[in-house]
Order: sequence, then structure tokens, then C-alpha cells
Amino acid sequence: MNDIGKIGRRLRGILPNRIGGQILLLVIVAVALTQALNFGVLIVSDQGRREESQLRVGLGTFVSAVRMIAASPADDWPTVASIVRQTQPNINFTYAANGRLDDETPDLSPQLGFIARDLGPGYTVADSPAKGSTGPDGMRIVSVMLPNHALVSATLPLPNPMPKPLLPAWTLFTFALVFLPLMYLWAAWGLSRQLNNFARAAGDFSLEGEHQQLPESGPEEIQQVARALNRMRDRIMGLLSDRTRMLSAIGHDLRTPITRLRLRAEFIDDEHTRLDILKDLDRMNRMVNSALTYIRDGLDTEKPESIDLPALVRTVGDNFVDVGEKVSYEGAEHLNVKARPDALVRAVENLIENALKYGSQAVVRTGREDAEQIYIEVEDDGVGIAEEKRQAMLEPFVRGDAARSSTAGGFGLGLSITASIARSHGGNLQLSSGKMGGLLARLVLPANDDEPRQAAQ
Amino acid sequence: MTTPHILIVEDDKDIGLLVAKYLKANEMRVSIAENGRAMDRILADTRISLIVLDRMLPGEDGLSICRRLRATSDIPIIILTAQADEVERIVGLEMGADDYLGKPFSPRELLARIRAVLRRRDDAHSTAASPKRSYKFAGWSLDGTMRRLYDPGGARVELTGAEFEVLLVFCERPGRTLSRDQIIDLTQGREAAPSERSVDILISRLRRKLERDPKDPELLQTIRSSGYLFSPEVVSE
Repeated sequence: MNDIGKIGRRLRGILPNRIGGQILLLVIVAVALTQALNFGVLIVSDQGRREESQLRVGLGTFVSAVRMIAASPADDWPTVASIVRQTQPNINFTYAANGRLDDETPDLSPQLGFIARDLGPGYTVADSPAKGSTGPDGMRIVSVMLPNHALVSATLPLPNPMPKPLLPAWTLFTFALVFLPLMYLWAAWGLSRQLNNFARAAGDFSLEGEHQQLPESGPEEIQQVARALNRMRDRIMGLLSDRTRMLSAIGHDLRTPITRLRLRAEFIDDEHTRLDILKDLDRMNRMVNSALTYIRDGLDTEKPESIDLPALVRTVGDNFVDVGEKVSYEGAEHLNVKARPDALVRAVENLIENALKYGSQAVVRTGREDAEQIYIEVEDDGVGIAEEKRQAMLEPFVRGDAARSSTAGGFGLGLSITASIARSHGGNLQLSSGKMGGLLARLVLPANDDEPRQAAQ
Repeated sequence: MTTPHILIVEDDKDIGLLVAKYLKANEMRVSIAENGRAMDRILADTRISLIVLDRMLPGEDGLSICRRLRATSDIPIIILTAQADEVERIVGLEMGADDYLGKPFSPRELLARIRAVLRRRDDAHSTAASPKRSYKFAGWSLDGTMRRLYDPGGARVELTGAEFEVLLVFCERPGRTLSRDQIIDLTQGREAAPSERSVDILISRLRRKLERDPKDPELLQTIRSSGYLFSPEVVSE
């Protein structure tokens, strides 16, 4: 294993580091491979052709001699024979004026069929194995009975069955067409895989949980991008944790003076002043808490669990009812969902608080949106939010109405905390205008319930 | 009952003095320590009834002081913390604190908690039974530490503070008819005590969450002219 690793490392040391070099190498390898194949095919088919041409000369001479003997008077035959013997001494050319073939239906090797076809009708061709020659590809004695009853024979090599070209011309083309694009695809895949990794890493970038560094491997350019992305990610994390630290320091540091004031207020004799101060301190404390909640929310470690949604929503509403607010509930008695309960409580609390800030009463509804989703609605009878301002209301530190919010209090974090809780559940928060004239805040979340409870409805 | 002597362990001088002033005004003796070492000196030669312990202290931190005290004594401890979240509560209670209060707090609430813890201690000494933390009834389970209720299917059912306190009182006394006054008495000084008027509302809210048919309750039954009865068999853990 170690050795392989070492070899791999040494190989990598030789191979080019940059994308340009790698693609160049790939092209060189691909072209070289194609050319080598081309060359190989040429050599193989050339050899075949040379053997074949020798054979053709021998056969050609034989066939011409047969034709000449057929066409000339018997006196000229010796001349013909001597010429043939001179030009093709290896074929043992013989002739006889009145020969006889052994068989009526001569046994002709299929490879020699072309001789008979060349000569045409009137000629009878037969062959038999030459002396000392065995095997199907050996030398054959080919005899031809001419129309003038002369018998001519020669020892000829049995031509090999025409060797099928090892690779026909189109193979090379196909090879180039398939192999080259495949290699390029491989190269492109390698590149795009890295880019996809980056895209995924950038998409998954969140403040929650562990954040993994991108691997700084591959070609130099990719390594550079990975390094740059990692550095950027570190800087963003640094900025965020600075912001978190700052807000949380402010929050925690404010708690001590608020605690002192809270205690001091208890010694104020004037009941009216004391209650007013306590009310302001409560408001300050709520603002500090909402800021701390907003920070914590991104880092929430709460685990999703199965919860009875109407019980949760009613409980939050009842807490408002207990301090004299008008909050009513409509909808299912029981509905199980899987969610982070404390986060959901915060979300509903914020929506109801917001509704009561602008209206005199809030109506809360829950139910199934469809098979996979549930909804939580909070509607008030206030003045609502103009359509063009609704999206902005979901941004942190944005308040509905500047004049009003100074008395209503808050940092303007309520709806943005709720929206981010919805998002962290894979759902969303929509704002619209309700039938009561005020704002209708609608939280749609995936239910994630495996077995809906069939309890009393 | 002798005047209780409260020891406040708090590094913020103002908060310590203000709490001391308020408690003294309410007939308690008070000592203040700014850290664990000062606390140890006071504990060495004074009989203390209860310690109000700040969670964040310079040097030895509130939680480790709490653990150290628990190893040697059962003196009641109330922890004050700036992070009154659930994890903090559980850790504090696991470390042996008797109660838990988030900052900023109302001195009235602190006083009520101190009185409640002291009374619970007296009760516990007389009956020699420490309060149980968890209860199971009719498939439901009530987790006293986490203050959570789970239905028979395991789904979490949210309760308001007052609803939780009332259900806890019933779980501690199954099969006993409790009048409205008794319910109020038993939840006095707890985190969220109901008023007389609200007991009926709390019962009806609990029924909506617990009962199969809230109009025909099986678990939380009304006993005519005397109060309410929690009927199921309760197993405590």
C-alpha cells in the first residue's frame, strides 16, 4: 500500500499541476493512442496485402498459361510451358496433351473456386494436396482440364481465406469519435466535480454545526479556488462570531444593570412610578432577550421531537390570555408534528405578540395544509401591513411603523426570528391581509409525522 | 419558626446589597459573600437556612460551588442566573439546586421562592420524603425536572407554567380529592401559582390537553361541591 502511495506521489510529481498542462497531456496521449492504433492497423493490413500479391502473381501466371494453352495449337505448348517455368519456377508447371481428371465432379477447395470462375465454362478444375504438404493451408496440386482435353497442373499455395481486415476503416473513425470525447468527458467530469463540490459547499454554508473545509487538492487552479473559498468562509465565520459575541456581550452586560434597577424599583414608594419603571424594565429585558434569541437561533441545538401542535399553540395563547390579552384558538384539537418545540413556541409567541402590538385581539389557527404540511395562522384586527412593506418586515431590525413602534417597543426582531425558525424547519412565513382587516401571518411547516394520531377531533 | 438566615453569594455588590435590603425588610437575616471563599468563611461559623447563589462568580463558579456544597450538606440552594434557559435549569437542578431564578428577577418572586423552598424543606423533614421528579399515568409521563408532559404516543404536549404546577400537585396526590383552596395552597411559591379564580380555567385547559373527551373527563374528575380528583394510577420515578 505504502509503495503504491509512494509511486502515486512520484507520478503526481511528474504530471503537470495546472489544468492547461493536464489537458495538453490528455490531448497528446489521446492523439498518440489514435495514431498508434492507426499505424498498427496499417502494418497488419499491409503485410496481408503483400502476401496476397505474391500469391496473385503465381495464380495469375497459371491462369494465363492455361488460357494460352487453350488458345494455341499443341505445337506451341512447350514454348508456353518453358516461359511459365522461367517466370514461376516454384509452381511445377506441367501439361499433358490428353490427360484425365480422376473424378467427374472434381473436388475443388473452396478457396480455389475463383480459378474456375475466372476461366469460365468448359474448364474443369480440381486440386489435391501436394506431396509432403499437410493441413488445410498447405500447397495444392491444381489441375485444369481444358476444353481441348489438355490437362495442365501446377503446385500452388492454397490462398489463405482473404484475411478480414483486422480493423476496417470505419473502426478508426469510430474509435476517434468515441474514445477522444470519452477522454475529454473524463477530464471535464474531473473539473466539474470539483466545481460542483464548491457549489455545494457554498450552498450548504450555514452558521449551524460543523463547517467543513473544502479539500485543497487537485490541479493548482482548483487548489487556489478552494484555498480562497476556505479563507472567505473563515472570514465570514469570524465576522459572524464577532457580531454574535458583541450582541451577546451587550445583552449580558445589560442584564446586570437591568437587574439592579429591577431591585431598586422595589424601594420606590410611589406605586405609580414604580409600576411604570417596572414596565419599562420589562420591555428592556424583552428586547435584550429577543436580541439574544436572534443570535442563538442560528446556533440552535434543539432537537426536533414529536409534539402536539394545538396544545403548543394553545399554551402560548393562554399565556397571553392569562395577562389579560384577547387570544382565541380555532382548529384541530390534536395534531402531531415533528419540530423543535422551544423554537416553535418562540415563533408563535412572536406572531401573537406582533398581532397584539397592532390589534386588540389575535386569532390563532392550526391545521393541515396538505398531506405533508401543516399551517399555523395568527390573525389580528389591526391596520395590517401595506403589501410593499411586508417583505421588509421579515428583515431583522425593521419595524412596521416608526411612530408606533417607539411605544410598542422591541428591536423589530420578532418576525425575522419567526421567519428564520420557519426556514430552519424547511418551511416559510407568509404575510398577507386577513379577513379581520389586520395582518395574517401564516407559518407553513413540513409535518414530518409518521403516524398521524387518530385521537378525538 | 425562627427567623431564617439567608446567605447571598453574589459578586455584584449592588445586587447583593439590594437583595439583602429587600429580604431584611421582609423579616429575614441576611449575610453577603462575594465569592466561594467568603461563603466558606461565613458557613464555618454561622447557621445558614438557605443560600442564594449567583451562577457566574469570579474564581469558583456557581455550579461547582453548588456541587461542592451538595457533597457535604443538604442546605437549600437557589441559583440566580443570567441564562434562564432549559439547559441551565437542568444542569442547575442536576447539581442539586432546589430552585432556579433567571436575571433580572423580581425580589418579590425571589422572596416567594425562598419561602417555598424553606417550607418544602420543612415538609420534607417532617414526612421524610423528597419530592419525586417524574410521574407516569395512563400512558402519559410528566417530567418534573424538564417540566415537560408527553402523551401516550410520546409526543410532547406543551403546558403553561400554572398548568404544569397544578398537574404536578395532582400527580403527587393521586386519588385524593383536592379543593380549589388546597390546590392554590399547594402551588403557592412555585414558579407559576394560580389564583383562586383561575383554578377552574386551568383544569378545563388541562382537560382539553389530556382527556379523550374534555366534556366527559376520565382523568381529572369533578367531585361535586368539594373539588377535583385525579383518578389514574400514578407511578413515580
